[in-house]
Amino acid sequence: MTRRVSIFGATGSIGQNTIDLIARAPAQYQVVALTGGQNVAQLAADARRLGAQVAVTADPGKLDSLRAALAGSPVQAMAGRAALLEAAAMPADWVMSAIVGAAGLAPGLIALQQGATLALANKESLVTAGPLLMATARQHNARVLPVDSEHSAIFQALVGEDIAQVERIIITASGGAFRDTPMQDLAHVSVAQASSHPNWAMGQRITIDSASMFNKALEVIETKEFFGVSPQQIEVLVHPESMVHALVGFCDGALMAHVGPPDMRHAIGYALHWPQRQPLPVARLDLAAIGQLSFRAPDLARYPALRLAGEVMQAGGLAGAVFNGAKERALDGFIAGHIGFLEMAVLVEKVLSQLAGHPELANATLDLDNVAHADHLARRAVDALIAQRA
Amino acid sequence: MSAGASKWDDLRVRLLSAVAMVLIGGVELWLGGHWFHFFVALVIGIMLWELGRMLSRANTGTAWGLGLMGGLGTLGLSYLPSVFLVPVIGAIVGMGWLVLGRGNGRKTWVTYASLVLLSGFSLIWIRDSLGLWVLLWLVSVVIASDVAGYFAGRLIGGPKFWPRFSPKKTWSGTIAGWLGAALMGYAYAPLFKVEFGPALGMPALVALSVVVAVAAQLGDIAESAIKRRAGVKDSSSLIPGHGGFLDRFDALISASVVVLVLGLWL
Repeated sequence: MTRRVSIFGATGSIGQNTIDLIARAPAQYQVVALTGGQNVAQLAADARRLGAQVAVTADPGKLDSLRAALAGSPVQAMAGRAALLEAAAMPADWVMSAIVGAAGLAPGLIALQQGATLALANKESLVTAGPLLMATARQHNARVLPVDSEHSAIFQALVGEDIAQVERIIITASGGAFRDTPMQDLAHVSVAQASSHPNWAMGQRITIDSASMFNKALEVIETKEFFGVSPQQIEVLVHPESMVHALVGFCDGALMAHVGPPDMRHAIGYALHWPQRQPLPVARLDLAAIGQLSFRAPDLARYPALRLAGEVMQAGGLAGAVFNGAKERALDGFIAGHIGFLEMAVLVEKVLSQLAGHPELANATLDLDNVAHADHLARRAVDALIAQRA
Repeated sequence: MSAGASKWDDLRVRLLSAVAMVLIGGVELWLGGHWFHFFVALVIGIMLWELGRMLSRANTGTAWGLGLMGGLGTLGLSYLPSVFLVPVIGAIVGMGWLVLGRGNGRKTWVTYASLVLLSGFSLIWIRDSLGLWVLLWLVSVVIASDVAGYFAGRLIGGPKFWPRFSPKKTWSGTIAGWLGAALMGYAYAPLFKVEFGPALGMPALVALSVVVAVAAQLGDIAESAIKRRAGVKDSSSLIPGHGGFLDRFDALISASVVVLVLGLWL
């Protein structure tokens, strides 16, 4: 039986790895929609190769080049945000949500409303609107599967277990590009230095987010929203080798660790084949050759983002959307050279407290409109702060 | 008594046709994709057939040929990048120019057939890149300006808008059409805010709606002028109670081209 699959964010690294897995067993899948951004040539080539029904670029100005790239193929070309949402409404059994940023939330919600299984790689969905996403899934009897290696690891450690017997969840962090850089040098690191990750090959933005641990902060919030545990139950552990992805501690003292090579195709493949397991083209660990794995507690002074995550979880509501929007805008500022590496967290913290009692956000319901509005206000607040100090 | 009954019959036919158009058009709009491409190509083909028939009433084969080319050309353009736009339209229009011959309104053919073909491309482009809601807004604005104009013109009357081309259109009807369009823009504003964010706010959308209404009214007047020159009342009688496709969709033709230009420019 073939499964109908759609991939949102097909041209990014998660999307490309998903396509790699699907292309190895093309007879098992019927590709419904592939979506991408600016890289229209890649999108069109994949859509042709997989025989997708539609290919959508998020940029409405790129319809012309997408049509050109798809000319002569039966793939339907569409463009723009409306087309993206339309593609999400096309019936599919399994949908990969790998669009980067807040734009990934709405397509994921629509896919859940169709009852599709949502493989969730888009971090913003849970960070900005976790309760909304999970409630939508419950309401439509749809399932969300984690694709981040940390959350997939937790998910796998919980198979057959009762979440009520979980004492703590530990997610690991490589520590990023600057885990051994002296504190006094951190203020002056360059964008290029922050863009190289010791273990994972990923896009520039998420690599910088790894160096600042904003990425880990998002993952902590995601863990709380997805597994429904309390913030106090979640711990972060620095683990430079990135082989233990997460550990789940139970009430009897047992600690279940998920160990594997740092290859995102494992988590993607697990989500693709769930509830079964299938052979995957990932390296097998030779633990004897590796010899030892090391762990240490994170230095909260070095990684203020982790402390901020705790505050966001405590506040709830739209704080996640504010946190994410402010972080994204601060990252823009760092990449553009307007602010230093350490100032990102300073700005995000200021914006969080500025907007904490904002009349338009406090007690507002958690829906798409308000999430977008909170994101907008947070970005504007960061811009104002950057303009002030210039 | 019998006169009253026939009037009633006519209104019923008009209403039934209107319901059928809304249903068929609505489903095609909603489905989008290949369905919508085929639908638009069919309608554009019929329109060029009507135009060819009006301009060369002696020769039905000419009209059939032009309609077929218009439909196939529109369908082809819906899958091709825009570099093909000018060559394809140029080829179809040029072919018409050759077969229509002297004294058959060749200038009218060149301008209006180009506009009709361009509107087919626009409608599909809008559906595929700006989405269902933008196209629904466009159709709603055109209908609102038409309906508001019709009733205000009938009820208020007053000085004529452009008697040389359109003996019936009044200033009151024209302005009411703008108001109707503005109201539609206001109604769609919350939806557009969700789709496009704060970039396209309510005042901008209301202004755009009025611009679209002006384009729609000019399209209406242009089609009337062509019919008057050809000496016909309706472009065809394919839609019971409404006349032809050009009669019914004249305003949408010009309005859709304006929205495409605005969409590419904004």
